[in-house]
Amino acid sequence: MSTPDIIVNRVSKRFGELEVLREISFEVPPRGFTCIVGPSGCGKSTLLRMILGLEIPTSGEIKIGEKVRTKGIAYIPQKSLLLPWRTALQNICLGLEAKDGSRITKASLDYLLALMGKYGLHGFENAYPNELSGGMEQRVSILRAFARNPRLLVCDEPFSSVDFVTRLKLNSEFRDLCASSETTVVFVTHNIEEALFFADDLFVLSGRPGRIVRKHNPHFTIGGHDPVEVRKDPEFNRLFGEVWTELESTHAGT
Amino acid sequence: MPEPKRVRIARWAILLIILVSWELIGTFDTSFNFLLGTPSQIIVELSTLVRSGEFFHDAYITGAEALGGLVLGTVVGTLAGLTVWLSNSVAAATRPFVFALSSFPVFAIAPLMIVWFGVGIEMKIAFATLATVFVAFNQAYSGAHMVSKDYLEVMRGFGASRWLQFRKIVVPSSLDWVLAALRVNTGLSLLGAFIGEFVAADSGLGHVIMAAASLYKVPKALAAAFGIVLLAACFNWLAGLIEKHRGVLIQYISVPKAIRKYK
Repeated sequence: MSTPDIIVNRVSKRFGELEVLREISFEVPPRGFTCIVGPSGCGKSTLLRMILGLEIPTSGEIKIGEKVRTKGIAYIPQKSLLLPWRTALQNICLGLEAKDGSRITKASLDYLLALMGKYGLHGFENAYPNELSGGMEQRVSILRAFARNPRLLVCDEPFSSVDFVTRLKLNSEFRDLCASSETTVVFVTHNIEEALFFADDLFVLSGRPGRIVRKHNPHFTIGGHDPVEVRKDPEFNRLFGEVWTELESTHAGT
Repeated sequence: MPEPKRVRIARWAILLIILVSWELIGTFDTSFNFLLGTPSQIIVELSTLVRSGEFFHDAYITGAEALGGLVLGTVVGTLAGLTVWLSNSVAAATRPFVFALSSFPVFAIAPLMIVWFGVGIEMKIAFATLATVFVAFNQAYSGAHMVSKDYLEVMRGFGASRWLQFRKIVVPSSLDWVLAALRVNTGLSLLGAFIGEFVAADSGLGHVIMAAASLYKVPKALAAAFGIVLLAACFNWLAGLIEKHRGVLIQYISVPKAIRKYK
């Protein structure tokens, strides 16, 4: 078995008196899609911030694999957080520029322009963020993360601020992008359907302090690549009910 | 939106009333005339200064001193204020000194400025630099430390070094603060140059004002003061021009050449 890209080993996190996460342990396999679902305030984002190195665990450790360290990490935050003084293309290129000594070559630029075209941003290359719709902003944020072809992609509820229809479209596009790259994904959401659609490994977190309640390995035979079609699979509905019950029981217990 | 016509008329009317009243009082009241002259006397003095070429020569000297100090003070202050962001400990250690120095009255060390820089143009430029450098530093420092933490976290999430966060996020988002400093410094640099000329000079508008005032030639002094107002207006126009093109400036300082053309 190949070495995991991330090993989270008995990680706990406290902010003063507030215990946010307790004894979290899991592994993220290479090129896998790992989803973490949990109620609001259960420490999902904190867990991601620790993986990104923005927070330090109070106890336990997070090991980042060699390949992730060499090929790099990209981050898709909850809000698109595009730089207002940069155009859409320039914001996407920021993903490339974030690495020391990096250069924007013609090949990389052509690749990014093609990606923009493929994901509905053709003609908006020179538009500033305030000229883009919410969905477009989020697409730019996603392409910014893919620009450098990272080994690890860390996503913090990236689709939570867009409307339902846009969300489904973005789900489908995002899955395509992940499938066509060699990227390992850690994806945090409070949306069970989204998590079921994406996940190879799905971890359910309890309410604060967050603990892993259960791990699922969703696999669907119907419409696995379509966020609408997949809902027709009876297994999808069964798993939805199961995860919902787990979330509800842990939430009620907090 | 253009201003209503009556506002513009009222504005000119106020100016006209002030000038006419000033002229009338100055003509009939000798003590008032001694202290303030009249607008017509000022115009006569101004035209004499302009025709002799003295006005442009002195304005050029004062303008060059102020501009030298403005550029030097703003550039040095801005670079220092921004780069301090790179190190939290340097920022914390220097902070009290900078705030203490920024409230220091430059005029108080005028005699020392002569000792350090002599009585030539260097001393006036040094005055204008000292008058502007702390404002530039404080603004750049504040701008850099007010940068959105969210933007920085995105960059850190991408594994960007502190230097890259500085270049790509801190510098461009501090630009408005720096430009605000530039605007304030246009006036301060002229004040610095004027103080320099007040202390010791043989040319410049400040020198003309000093020489005329010591001989009670109030209209001539006010004509020279009008020259300083004109210089201030020019400096302000220049600062406005830079502000207007801030978008271009931001592209040049923070966006790689390869994608700049898409602007």
